[in-house]
Amino acid sequence: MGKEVTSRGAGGPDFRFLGKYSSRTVSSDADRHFTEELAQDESEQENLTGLISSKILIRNVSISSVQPLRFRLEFYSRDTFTNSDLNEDTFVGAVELNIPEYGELA
Amino acid sequence: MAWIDEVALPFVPDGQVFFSPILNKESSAADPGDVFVIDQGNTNFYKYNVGTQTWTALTPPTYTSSAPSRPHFNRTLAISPDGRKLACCSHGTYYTGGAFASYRIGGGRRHEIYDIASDTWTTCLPPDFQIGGYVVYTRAVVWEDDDTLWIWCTQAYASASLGPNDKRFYGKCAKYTPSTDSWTVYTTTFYILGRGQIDFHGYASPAAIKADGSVIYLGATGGTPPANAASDYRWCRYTVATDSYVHSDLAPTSDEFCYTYDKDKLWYMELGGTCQPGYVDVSDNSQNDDIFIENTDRDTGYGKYLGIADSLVKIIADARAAAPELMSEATGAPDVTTNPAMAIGEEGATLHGELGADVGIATDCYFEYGTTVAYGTTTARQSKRVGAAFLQEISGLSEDTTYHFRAVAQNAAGIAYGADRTFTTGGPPNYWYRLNIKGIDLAYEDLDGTKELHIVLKNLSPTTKSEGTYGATKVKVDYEPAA
Repeated sequence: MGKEVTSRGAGGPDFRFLGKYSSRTVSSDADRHFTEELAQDESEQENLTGLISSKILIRNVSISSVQPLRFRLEFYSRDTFTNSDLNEDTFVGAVELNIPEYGELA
Repeated sequence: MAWIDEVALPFVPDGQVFFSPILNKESSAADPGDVFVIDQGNTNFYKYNVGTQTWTALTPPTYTSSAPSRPHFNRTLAISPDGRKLACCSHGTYYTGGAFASYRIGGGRRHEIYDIASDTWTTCLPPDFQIGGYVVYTRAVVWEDDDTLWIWCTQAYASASLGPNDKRFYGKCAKYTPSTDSWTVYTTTFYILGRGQIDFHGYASPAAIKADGSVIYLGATGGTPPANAASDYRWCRYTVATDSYVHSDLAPTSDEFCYTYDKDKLWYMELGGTCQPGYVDVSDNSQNDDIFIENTDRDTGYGKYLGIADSLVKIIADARAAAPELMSEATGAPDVTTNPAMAIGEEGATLHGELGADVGIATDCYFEYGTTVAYGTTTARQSKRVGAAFLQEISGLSEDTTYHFRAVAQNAAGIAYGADRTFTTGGPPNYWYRLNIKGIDLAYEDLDGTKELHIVLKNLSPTTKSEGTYGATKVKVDYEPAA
């Protein structure tokens, strides 16, 4: 397993959910979907389907990568996120995946 | 093998044209293929690259030659062992007065040292000793180490016993230390020329030295005294420990020494015969004839001015009557090495090869590869002139497959193959970098069923994420139903 990093940053309060909760792992099929060449600031998208509920709380994100690169994973509620005049309602949030700084080789 | 045309001199030579060796040392301040060119005057000093065929004008030395027509002034450029400095005789003079009025007596009054990196010359202290009561002329230089130069100095005088009309030439090896601008002079003076041979005083004077610095070798050190014989076929060895000289002769005696600097060789050519350059090897005193083929386009009187690569694969000469004015000779088939393949992936790799130094003529470099030693596939050709590494990316290979490959170099003189090497294409990587981010607590809802949850992976690194399995990235999102 890779290193655990809270979304609040090192040294900050740990807001991890400590109680029990039911969860279902949703994994993007990386072998098929994140194999494109990406230069700096280029991105590739994935649609997460089959959510078990119409209202969810995203708890954790894990990344496994052959290359030790720094990524940002952004969540959108529509596929119009590439428009220049983004509807604020479409952006859900983002998390930085800084593998060179926090990642581990497994 | 063939002599080929180089580009024309960028200047009108003032007197003769002299060369340094053709350089190809990684530690040198010069680039591979550089040869330094200087004339007897003080205005023309250039660097010529036989690979790019380009000239670079450089700062000329401080002193010129005042000698009319500069008949006896050797400016051959001696490269230091570390490849960073050049030394040559300078301050050419021509003496016509006094008791020597009927003889042509000339040479360098000192030497100068050129620093390649800074393009500057340092003027050296003239020899502070005399031969027969007269100042000496510098005639040849050879580096023992980076701070020791041996200078061959000569002068003529008439002894009381021989009378005023029987002037003879004498020489002496002296050691010069650049860092202190000082001379170390030894006792013995060597008789090199007899009466009537004084005209030969300034003839080609290559100098060389044994690897351990124990013996200095000097070319063109006179005929058989006191007869009026030609001078250039004689050479001598000076043993430092005993301060003594020994004469030897080239065979045939029609051979004459060349204006060429080579620390461990005295170069000569048989001007009356095939005119093919050869050398006396200071390691064993052997005479080695016909190392290069004859340049039939050479100019009479200029054929002995040569620049030679230490590897003996290339020579350059002044062929002034021909156009262009510089000619060089590349030896036969090029030499090429196959280096290991790198950046080996599932479907591609980068092949590496290296062309041997100073091939000198346009040479096509490429690779052959395939799943057997029969190869079958040839890459695009790359044209090169001097020794250099070359590479070629190849793609479309099969996964988990062993491939054979070899480097190939081909020019007008022949074709050469590097040794066979192999590499095996890879399968998917068996390692991953992992990172878990916990406690995100990011809410998402789609209560009316009109939305979709999209994730976008953006590369923030300046390094490009590779395509395919070598850039594979998996993302897992953990979530729970929200209340």
